[in-house]
Amino acid sequence: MEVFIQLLVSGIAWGFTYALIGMEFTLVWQSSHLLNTAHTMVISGVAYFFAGTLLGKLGLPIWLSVILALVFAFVMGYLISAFIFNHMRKLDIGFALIATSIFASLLGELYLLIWGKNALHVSNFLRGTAHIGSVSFASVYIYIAVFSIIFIIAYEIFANKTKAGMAMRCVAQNINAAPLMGIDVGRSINLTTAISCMICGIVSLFLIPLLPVQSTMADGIAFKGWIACMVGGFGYVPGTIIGGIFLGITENLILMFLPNIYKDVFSFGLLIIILLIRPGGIMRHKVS
Amino acid sequence: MKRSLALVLALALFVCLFAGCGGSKQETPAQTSNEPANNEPIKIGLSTAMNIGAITIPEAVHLRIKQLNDNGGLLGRPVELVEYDDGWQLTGAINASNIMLDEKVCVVAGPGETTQMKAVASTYADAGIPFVCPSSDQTTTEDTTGYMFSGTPCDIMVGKAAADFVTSEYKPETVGIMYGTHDFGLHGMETMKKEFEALNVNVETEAHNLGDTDFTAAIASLTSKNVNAIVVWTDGTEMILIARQLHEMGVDVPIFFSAAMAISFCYEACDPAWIEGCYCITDFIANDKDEKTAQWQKDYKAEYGQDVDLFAARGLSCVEIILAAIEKAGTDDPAAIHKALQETKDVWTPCGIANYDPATKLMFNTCFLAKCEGGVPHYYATIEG
Repeated sequence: MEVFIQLLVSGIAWGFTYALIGMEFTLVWQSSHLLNTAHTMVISGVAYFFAGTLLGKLGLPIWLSVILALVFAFVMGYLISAFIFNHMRKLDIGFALIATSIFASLLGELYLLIWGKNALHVSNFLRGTAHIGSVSFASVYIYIAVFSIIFIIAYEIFANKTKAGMAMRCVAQNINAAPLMGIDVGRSINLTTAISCMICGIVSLFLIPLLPVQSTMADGIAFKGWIACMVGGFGYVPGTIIGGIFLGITENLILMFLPNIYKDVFSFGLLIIILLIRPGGIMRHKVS
Repeated sequence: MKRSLALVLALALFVCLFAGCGGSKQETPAQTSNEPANNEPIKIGLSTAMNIGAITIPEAVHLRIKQLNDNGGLLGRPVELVEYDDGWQLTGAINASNIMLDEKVCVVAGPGETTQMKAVASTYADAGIPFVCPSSDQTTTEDTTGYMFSGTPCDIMVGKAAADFVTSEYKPETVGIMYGTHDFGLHGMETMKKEFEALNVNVETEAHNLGDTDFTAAIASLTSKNVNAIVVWTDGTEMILIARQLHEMGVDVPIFFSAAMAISFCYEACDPAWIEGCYCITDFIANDKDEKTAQWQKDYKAEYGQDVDLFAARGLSCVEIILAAIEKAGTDDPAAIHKALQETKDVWTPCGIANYDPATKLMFNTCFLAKCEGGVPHYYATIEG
């Protein structure tokens, strides 16, 4: 029973992480039909900025550093979209994929130049242990679950109740018809990408207590986020969230029966099965 | 007139082209045969990662060579380092080997990673160039070319020493081993499992892949099997994560880490509470047990402003073994150096005294045990394997 609780708690936390990564990936796809392979670099970039600059060099308090890191992520996303993605979306999807990959490599080298080659670590940030009965686990897992739920609710309110949010959904639904409704498509895409990068920022803050800050910190997890998109229903935000949580929980609980090293095998196997028998994902969403 | 001028210009261009293409370096007979000639430098190759923060091999090697040259060099000749940044990658090591052969080095320090070592072994062997690797992997004992040497205590010996210490100190009924599925982890686990079973200790193992970010299942599995001690045999990044999770999951048995915990990037990344009282079995830990080690630590700190660590010690060990072999050979002839390496005896290195055993191909028979106090591993004992 103790093993089950530990795996479940850890699985839920990682599931929400995958869900958020899948969500930001999906938002960029919906708005500009770009597969943003540079999102791992945005995650590590925000982590570097938080750990290396805000806390490390400037010595700011943690609460202020968190706010500034998210603002940084938002601004970074807006600028990336305005100067790069908005032009890339006119390219063939294959070229756009290569372009975002190259952009990711450039960002990685830039981080090395700015913050050096050593991994960074942050102590006293979301650290500590929590208990359920006699079962101990990292308290950051609770923070991840709680803040993820808060963010998802906030995003849904934004997307459904605000003009900007509705404009984003219109662009996602039909990019050609959106201008006819008086929507500035370019600005809407910029805002979507900025929100997507802000989600990357939130993910990076969740990962900092769990992983060393380095340019490769999000590589494996980002791929799981992509699997979450496919499992839940590619291009559909609610499906991505469901897919992420489902993936996180199942890949952990299966380890009660399989050795630990088969965790990724299970995840990839699940992806293949979903693609073969239910390509629309759990939520049966058709990709437009 | 114009035609004549054009012809002259064309001829001049033709001559310039050939002059510009003037072939490869003219080699004197002395250079091709590696015979000493008027203070020609002794060329030693260095194949390692130059831009990975945790790998301080270049720093240690540079310092040693600089000190050597400041004191008159070796055999009355300056030592020239031919170095190549192999990025700790397979292709990098292969490129490095080509450069080393082009530059006619007499011996190479590196590469440091198992797949690299295997990839370049036959290249160096075919050219008759011995190479000394800052790697503890048992690849050096399995090498069939005869040109690969280890510059650090081998995992076979270290794993055995670890198992012996855990058993004698804690007398566990069951030991859990968490290991990475790469060569280092796998070989270490196999060696320790064999040794534990020979000492009538039950062993439970949990493998993980490098790059894994969550070890909840592995730790939960071991604790459910009531292990009395846990040995963690993996690389630095995974070790930090495991140390954190062992603490968070309230695991309260003696923990023994492999050498990565002795590296500053690893233990500084850990909260002191995670590793308090834990042990680390390593090729090197800072200590003042002998004068040379103490002096080297001082010199390194004065030069770079940072403390020595495991990789620096490994780098220096390789170089000390190489320099001793060249001195013993009395020449920079690769064949003579190769023979001298096989006769390595009582050579001081920060990893211990090097004595090559041709039967086992082991260069060392001792390693270090460190205990973590205040978030830092400190020298605890020297143990034999």
